[in-house]
Amino acid sequence: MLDVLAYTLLGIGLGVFTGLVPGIHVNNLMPMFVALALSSSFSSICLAAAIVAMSLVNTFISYIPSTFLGAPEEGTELSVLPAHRLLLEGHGYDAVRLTAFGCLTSLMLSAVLIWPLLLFIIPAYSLIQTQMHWLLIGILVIMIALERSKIGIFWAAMIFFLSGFLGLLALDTSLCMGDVALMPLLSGLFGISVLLPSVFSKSGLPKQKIKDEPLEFRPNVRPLCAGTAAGILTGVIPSVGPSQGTVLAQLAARSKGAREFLVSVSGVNTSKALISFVALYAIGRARSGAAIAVGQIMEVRLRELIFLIGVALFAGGIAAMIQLQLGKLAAKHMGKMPYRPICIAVIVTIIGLTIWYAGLIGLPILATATAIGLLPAVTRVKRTFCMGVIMLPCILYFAGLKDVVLSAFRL
Amino acid sequence: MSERIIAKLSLLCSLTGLAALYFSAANTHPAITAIAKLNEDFAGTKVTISGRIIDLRNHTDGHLFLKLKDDSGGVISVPVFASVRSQLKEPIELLDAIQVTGRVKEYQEELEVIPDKASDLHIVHAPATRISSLGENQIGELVKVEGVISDRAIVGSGSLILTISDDGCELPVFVPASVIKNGFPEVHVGYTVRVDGWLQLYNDNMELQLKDASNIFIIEAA
Repeated sequence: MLDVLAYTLLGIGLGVFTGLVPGIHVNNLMPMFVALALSSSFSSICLAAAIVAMSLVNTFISYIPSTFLGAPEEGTELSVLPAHRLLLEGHGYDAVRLTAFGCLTSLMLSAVLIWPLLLFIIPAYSLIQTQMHWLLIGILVIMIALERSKIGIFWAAMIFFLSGFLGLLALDTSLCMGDVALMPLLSGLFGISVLLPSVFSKSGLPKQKIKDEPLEFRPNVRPLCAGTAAGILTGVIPSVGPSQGTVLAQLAARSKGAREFLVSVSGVNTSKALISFVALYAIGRARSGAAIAVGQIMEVRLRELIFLIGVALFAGGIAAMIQLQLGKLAAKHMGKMPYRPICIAVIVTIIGLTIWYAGLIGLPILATATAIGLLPAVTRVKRTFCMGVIMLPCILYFAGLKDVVLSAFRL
Repeated sequence: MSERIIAKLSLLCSLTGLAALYFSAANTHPAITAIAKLNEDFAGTKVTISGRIIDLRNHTDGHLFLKLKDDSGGVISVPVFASVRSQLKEPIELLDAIQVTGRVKEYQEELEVIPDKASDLHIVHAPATRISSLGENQIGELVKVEGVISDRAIVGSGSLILTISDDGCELPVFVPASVIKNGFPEVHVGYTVRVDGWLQLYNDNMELQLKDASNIFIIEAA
């Protein structure tokens, strides 16, 4: 029992590390865990506990750099703009509190919903999967139609297709191997493009207000439920990430404010992380890097699933406390720090990490993604349309048209 | 700078970047990937693999199903669909070295690399082994021999034994009835043929067993 606790704490520590350092993803550490499990006498159940704790804690802590530095990881990209907006209004800590609330309550709600989920959604998953492209096209059409003005609709469609074509070029051609292009793509569309205006503006960060009064529960119920439901869906269906889930949640909750949005997006991310382990048990399919690693280390039966859920809840509780403390610390000190040099340092770090991960070809991808990422703010349409970078390849994949389109472009 | 100008500049940079990336992608050929390295993470991406054909099956619809093995020890399926196969200028044989560029797909929980067009396949034909150089240490191995049919006998329930003669040495080739029923070409004594098959011992004598009708090539009819 003590060894499980020790490994869980180790996983929490690694989750804090991977969450705080932009560009370091939990998936980078997974091969190490699998190698340890296969080549030594480490207990597989202990390593699985560490992996679950790390992946869950990472979803909480990654909101700190995405809020204070505008540096997203996979899944937190859509939170950058609302969180950054709150930061520039002096409410950075509030953004962290909202995401901690969204992550923790969604984690608990998902744990409660696991049993009905096993009975209902998972048997229906194959049906949803075959119609996924229509679902995504439906979401896209509604999103674009919501722009209302003709010029807004034009720019929304333009940004969607520009980022979608960029996604196809970077993720589905010979330019980069595997998913290494995701880092420059997401950092350009949702990171550097958010930070650049701060670099050129002379104003620094306002003093951050630290509120300690409890969050109101009632206004957050709808975004929380929608976020959890979308997270469950994305945890079961392949190739649909938290960002598409957030789009779904946003539509379902009809939330317009930045605060509701943050609760919703954080709920999607955490519930997806938990449900990916349930999918491993129920349908034998791994829907996240962490679930793949757990699946390679041990067979997940009902007993193991209950254990993993217990570890996830324990780690989630601790992660929320750490996130709030780190968020408070960051809010206290960020106002005093020279914000412009920090933004420049983050941009330089992102450029360095891009070269490290994707090689020199990552730079034109990053530059193009940044140019596209600048468009939503200046044309006043939602940044969500930049999710075309993943949505368009997904729609083509589910429709069975990806190869046709790539061949038509001689790619 | 006004928002209008920034929008125009951003759009211009986006389009320029996309055009540059498009031309790079269209003219970039992926480096050769070791087959053993391929896993589910590669699904959907384009790769180039290179290896030797260790299995080859013809489909009645004209498709060709290959299995490739490379120095990494990995084995992967390469389906060459009829539309691509019909564009090939030369036949593909067992043991040929082949370089394939294609997209990685998962089919029935197994990975495969699917070439889109004939130019995605580069074939280097393996030379035939002299019958005189074959030894019992090669039993169970896949070998390619070439020679003239010196004898042809039907045995059992429609199986065929062809005797191939090369430079004074002979090797019986066993063609099971199931292969004969599935498109095996008409061959007679005097034909020069190339045969790919598995070397085996039968009544203490070495013989070659054919597993598919596509494993025999008529070089010259008598």
